[in-house]
Amino acid sequence: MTEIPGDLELALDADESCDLDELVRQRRPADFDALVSLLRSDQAREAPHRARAIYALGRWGDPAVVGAIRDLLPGLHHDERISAIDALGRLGTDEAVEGILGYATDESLPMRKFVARALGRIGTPRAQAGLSELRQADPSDYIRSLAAGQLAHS
Amino acid sequence: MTTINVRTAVADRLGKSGTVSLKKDVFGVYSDDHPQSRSLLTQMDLILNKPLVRVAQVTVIGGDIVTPTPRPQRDLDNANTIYQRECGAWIYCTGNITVDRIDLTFLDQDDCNLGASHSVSDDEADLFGLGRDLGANIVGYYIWSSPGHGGCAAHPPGRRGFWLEFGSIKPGSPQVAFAHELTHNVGHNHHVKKPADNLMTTKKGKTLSSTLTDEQCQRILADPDMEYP
Repeated sequence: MTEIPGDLELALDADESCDLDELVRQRRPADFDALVSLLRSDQAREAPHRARAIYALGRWGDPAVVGAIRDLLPGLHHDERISAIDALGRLGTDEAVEGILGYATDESLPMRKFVARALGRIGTPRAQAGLSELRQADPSDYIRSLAAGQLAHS
Repeated sequence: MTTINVRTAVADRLGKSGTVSLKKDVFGVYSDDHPQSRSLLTQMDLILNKPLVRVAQVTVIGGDIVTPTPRPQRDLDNANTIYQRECGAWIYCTGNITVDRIDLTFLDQDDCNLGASHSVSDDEADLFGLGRDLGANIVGYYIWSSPGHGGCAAHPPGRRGFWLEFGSIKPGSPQVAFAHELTHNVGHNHHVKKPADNLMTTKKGKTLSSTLTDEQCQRILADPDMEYP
């Protein structure tokens, strides 16, 4: 069991992410290891801690965690899955794109919004192809417009 | 015996004229989620004699998101209890609207850095444009969620405000989360670790008994949006 540093524990418990953002800026290896360990925690462990670990790891920017986050996707509830899509978009590997594209036709509009934003951040040819599909085929005017905007900026 | 002209006081101090609603214009109550007896005499004392900060509230809804609902009046009442008890100031709600914007129910946000280092996302730019015609410089937004979760008082330059989520992941201190975020705005108060019962700690379970220090109150009372009689 990886020990959670005190400052990180407080940041994970907080109602805002600002303290977590500060720890991400500091980039302490012990915090990274602890955040990764939270991805491996079972469902019974506090869901907010896992969701916040996903948030922080996405902003940490180390693509080594892409596989772990992608593997979690099917078992996450809706809100956590959006956090994971957001994080994958910030990590930006081909494996991340494949995980994100798995939710490109999700019935939830907010999910598809974060899919479009994540693909736009990554901007690789595969991500752009996914955005093109959203631009052409998504049932929502908003998502089609968002995808078009992301394509224009990528 | 002193006679108080409510209409005059409300016009002079709060800027409300024409047809005046006792509930909305005098008490600043726009939601029915926290019913309680409210004393007109006490309210007039606040209006006539105490510093106030104006706040508006915006709830963002959309799609299938119907429950749970936020409790904006409870949040205002609790924030008022703490501000009046700790600092002798009060919070006047100038309006509360609900906006159907499913695209903003889940907020895309890069970070929650308080201050100039905050990166303003497109969603934040949109969200913090809502409710700017409600008569307050500070607006509290209720959204379903954001990857950052909980709440955040980081805001675009010139658009003071904060958001709170009311979705599946609840704040650790739901009773005073509004007061906490508001206090990041009013007086630019940051998190503290001591005293343990302070409103601005990050620990879970903060309650109406949460305190503010003299220093925090001084910053609140010196805020540019604090109005004096």
